[in-house]
Amino acid sequence: MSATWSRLAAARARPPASTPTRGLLPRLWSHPSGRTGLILGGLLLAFALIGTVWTPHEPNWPDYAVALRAPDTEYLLGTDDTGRDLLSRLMEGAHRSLGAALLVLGGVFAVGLVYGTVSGLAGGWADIVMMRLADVMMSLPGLVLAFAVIGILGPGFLNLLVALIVADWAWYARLARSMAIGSRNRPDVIAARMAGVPGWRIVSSHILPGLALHLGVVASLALGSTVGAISGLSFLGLGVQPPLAEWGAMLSDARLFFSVAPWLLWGPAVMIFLSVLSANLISNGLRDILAVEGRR
Amino acid sequence: MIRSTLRRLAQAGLTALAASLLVWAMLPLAPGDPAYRILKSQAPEHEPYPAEIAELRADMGLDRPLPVQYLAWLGRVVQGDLGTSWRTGQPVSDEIARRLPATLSLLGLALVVSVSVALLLALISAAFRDRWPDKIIRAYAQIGAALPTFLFGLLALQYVVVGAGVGKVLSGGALGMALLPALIIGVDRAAGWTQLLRASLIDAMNSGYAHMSRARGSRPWRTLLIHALPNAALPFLTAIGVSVGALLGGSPIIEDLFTWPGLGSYTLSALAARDFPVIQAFVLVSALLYVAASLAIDLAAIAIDPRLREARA
Amino acid sequence: MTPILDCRNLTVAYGPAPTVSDVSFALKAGECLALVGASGSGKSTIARAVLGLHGPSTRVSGRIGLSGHDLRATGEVTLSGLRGRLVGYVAQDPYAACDPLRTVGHHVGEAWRSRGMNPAPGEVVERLRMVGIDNAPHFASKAPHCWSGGMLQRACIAAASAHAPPLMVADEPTSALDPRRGDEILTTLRAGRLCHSSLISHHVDLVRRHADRVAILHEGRLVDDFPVSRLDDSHRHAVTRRLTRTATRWVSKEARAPGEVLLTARNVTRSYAGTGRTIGPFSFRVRAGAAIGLSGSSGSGKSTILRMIAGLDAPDEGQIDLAPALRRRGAIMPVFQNPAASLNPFWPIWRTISEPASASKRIRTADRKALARRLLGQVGLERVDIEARPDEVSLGQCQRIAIARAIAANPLLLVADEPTSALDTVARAQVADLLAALVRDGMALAIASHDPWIHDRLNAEVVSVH
Repeated sequence: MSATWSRLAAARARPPASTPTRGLLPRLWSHPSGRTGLILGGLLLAFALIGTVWTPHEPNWPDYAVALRAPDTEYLLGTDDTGRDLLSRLMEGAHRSLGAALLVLGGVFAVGLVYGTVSGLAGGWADIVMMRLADVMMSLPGLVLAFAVIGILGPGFLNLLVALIVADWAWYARLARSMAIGSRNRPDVIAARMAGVPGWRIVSSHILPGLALHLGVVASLALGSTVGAISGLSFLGLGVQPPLAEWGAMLSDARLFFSVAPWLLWGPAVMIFLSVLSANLISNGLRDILAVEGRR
Repeated sequence: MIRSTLRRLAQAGLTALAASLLVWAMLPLAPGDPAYRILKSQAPEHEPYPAEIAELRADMGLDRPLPVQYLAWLGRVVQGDLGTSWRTGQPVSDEIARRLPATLSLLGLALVVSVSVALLLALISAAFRDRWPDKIIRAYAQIGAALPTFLFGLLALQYVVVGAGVGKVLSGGALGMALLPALIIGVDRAAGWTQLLRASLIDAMNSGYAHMSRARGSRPWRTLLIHALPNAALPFLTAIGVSVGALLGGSPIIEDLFTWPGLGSYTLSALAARDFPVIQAFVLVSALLYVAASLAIDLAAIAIDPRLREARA
Repeated sequence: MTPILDCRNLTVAYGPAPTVSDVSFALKAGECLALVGASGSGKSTIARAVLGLHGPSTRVSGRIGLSGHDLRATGEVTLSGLRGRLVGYVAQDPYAACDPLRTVGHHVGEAWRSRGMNPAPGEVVERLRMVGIDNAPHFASKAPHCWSGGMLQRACIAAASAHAPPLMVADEPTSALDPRRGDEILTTLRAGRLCHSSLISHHVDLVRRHADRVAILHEGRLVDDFPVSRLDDSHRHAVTRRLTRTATRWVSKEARAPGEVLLTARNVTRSYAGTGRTIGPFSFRVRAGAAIGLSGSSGSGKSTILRMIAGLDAPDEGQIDLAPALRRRGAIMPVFQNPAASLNPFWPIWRTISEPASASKRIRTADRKALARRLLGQVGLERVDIEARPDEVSLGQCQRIAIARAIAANPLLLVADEPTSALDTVARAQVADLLAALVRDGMALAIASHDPWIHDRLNAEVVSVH
């Protein structure tokens, strides 16, 4: 039940329950923290994209002659214990660290959307069975479930992605289901039904677009925590295997040389910090603009 | 009140049962024959003979139907038998019993630290909204939320503990030793909670009842404590419940970082060796702790909110 | 004699444009002033200013004199002391005004405790009894959600009047409640020790019965201020006439031959799953060119009956017989309470309007747009851009667009669920006129509304639902 004054405010700004998103980017841009997040995210994305095609030095090839060099004009951020250029490795690893987070979110979004919509619109026994299964998955905390999956499949980058998708999909499926069920009784859907619009067209044109959009926004709110989880698990050696570069794994390597080469720690630490910060700033903007809540 | 409490208790029992099914299912779900993998993990150089495998399969009851296997497993677990480690052949329950107190004291202390820090900062922040104390606290919360716990812990460990020589890097798992790591974890985790609680407090301060309270002459601080805090506590409690899960799931990372001799570091060593009974035990214990924490939080919410008490028929 | 409340050149701005500009009025002791205006005209903003509750980011200028104190020159600490003692406040929605976690007894007792006092033993219960709460000791220990809206509003009045303030500010104190409770609430408000009050409302009938003076607000400006006896003068300000016109009873009951019977309901009942509550039995007939009105308070089951008429729910017992002509898809079309939610937010309005026409066959986009343009003309929205999205038009326009969408299906029967309750006075009249015109042209209409005015306006045969 909304308050008197906020009801007054609501009369001026429409309730955003149905998530209209036209001009979402411009609106995010005019939101102070949203704009900072977008700029930062754009820079990181550019950093990662450039890293896939060009790096100042060969990122994975050891050169013991220049091992543990402090930052200088040739090696801007210094080198690691096998003489690999830190900046090059950060650039080359960027698409793995950031791309993994996007893949995980895309995975939970797709699985959650399909599973939840089918369950919600099918109804009856199919719905009950599908949702009990999702409830079983949700009886475990996400990261614990991720460890269980890694235990079954073994370490590795792909397995890490699968583990994180398995850990979180059920939550999104539940949300999608409740939205699908709610939208069956939405006025515009009832009007379309009464006018005789075929069921599949109601689903594809009235229900799915809004549902997908809302679920996508909610998934994007988890970007920061996903980047954190991936780097954390990689830090344990459960993700990308050497010699490939990944920020979390680089942090883990840097631990051993902290006393002689602290720059090795700072490079990946700052990159992870900036990624999560940019994702959080964008999330704050989205939350303010669309009044949605994600998973905390 | 009693009815809704009982219903919630029954629900927690069912959830625990569901979790146990999931934990047990890890073994049949994993690729490969468990008997072969046990023999392989005990003697990596030796290729097991078919007779050895068949004998172990019979021993473990792997030839029986799956539901029977589950019930047999559940029966053993209820009696406190979590099986034997594939690597060491030692009972997993003993090792868990030895390590669980260390994990609980670390996570419990971290939870206390983060709840207190978040509560204090969020109240100050909401009371001084948009003035300098609020701005400082928001900056802390923004930075803290962007630092994953392990990353903040790593930096704090290197600079505070190693660099400044405060505390010890290698710790024995006693409660006193837990203070420093718990402080580090707690201060980092409190950041996200401060943001959440501050937002809930401000929402509550903008609500009709808060305006009503102010309109009849209550001072802002009083409205904040009497009306806004209990109302904002409800979403905060839910967040704590989710966070207990995140702490449990993060325990392998945290304990690896602080070389803490708890459940998490035990699990991490088992993960590399794919030592299933240990991983299963970790998942099961975490699940039970999580179910218990969720239960406690829901009961607290029922106690606070009269709307939850009158159970809807 | 100094006025109790004296506002001079009050201007309030949240953003660059002021919400309330240059408003001046005064209130004598014992007088009841009604501020009347459409939603968004600045009524609540003025109420807030009088309580001194605007935050630091809101710019307030002008003078607000309250029993000799200049509120704008008073510090927050002193101001806290004045609130509750010199001015009491009753909010629009009593459920929002009470802390959901605490008992109503606590809510009333806060009137003392928030000022550092303690209510005398039994004082709270006595106050509740004074505003007409039976069994007050029992109810005082219950949380707000156990109370009915009317009772809770009376408890809020008891809380606001605890220290007998000379001025009461009541912001739409009846609009969230069942209209039958409106008179009781306002009588309670003016009864007993509360002889001086300022009332804010947009419900003109209530204003007529309870206020002494009326001030008309329009877009943040005070355009008219007069004794309530002059409310119906023909030479009043244009805005006043528009606001009061909708309240006058509709008299032209033109006799019309009833059309053919389209739908017959016989002894229809339906129960709500899990609650054991049953509505009905109801029997009624719906005829072409006539309206049937379902009246009753919210939650009485009006919407359920409409859903059964629309074929969305089946009755538990009894029968609903449809004329053959009604059995095709689109013969019955809906109009909903919340106009904004009833349009697809992603679609330009031409797509929403022409959707029913393209339900079973493909139509070219150009033809769909032409159809949309024609239907918009029919509902009086010629000037609305067909490419606009629902969030770019007003609520009242949304509702007329929803009606255009319904017409696109060539329906014989419209089912309208509280189609005007979310709208302000002016939009309400426009939508009602549009529905009346459709009925005159031969449409059958089943309408649920708690507002007797609209049933009158549509010459509806009223079925009351309890």
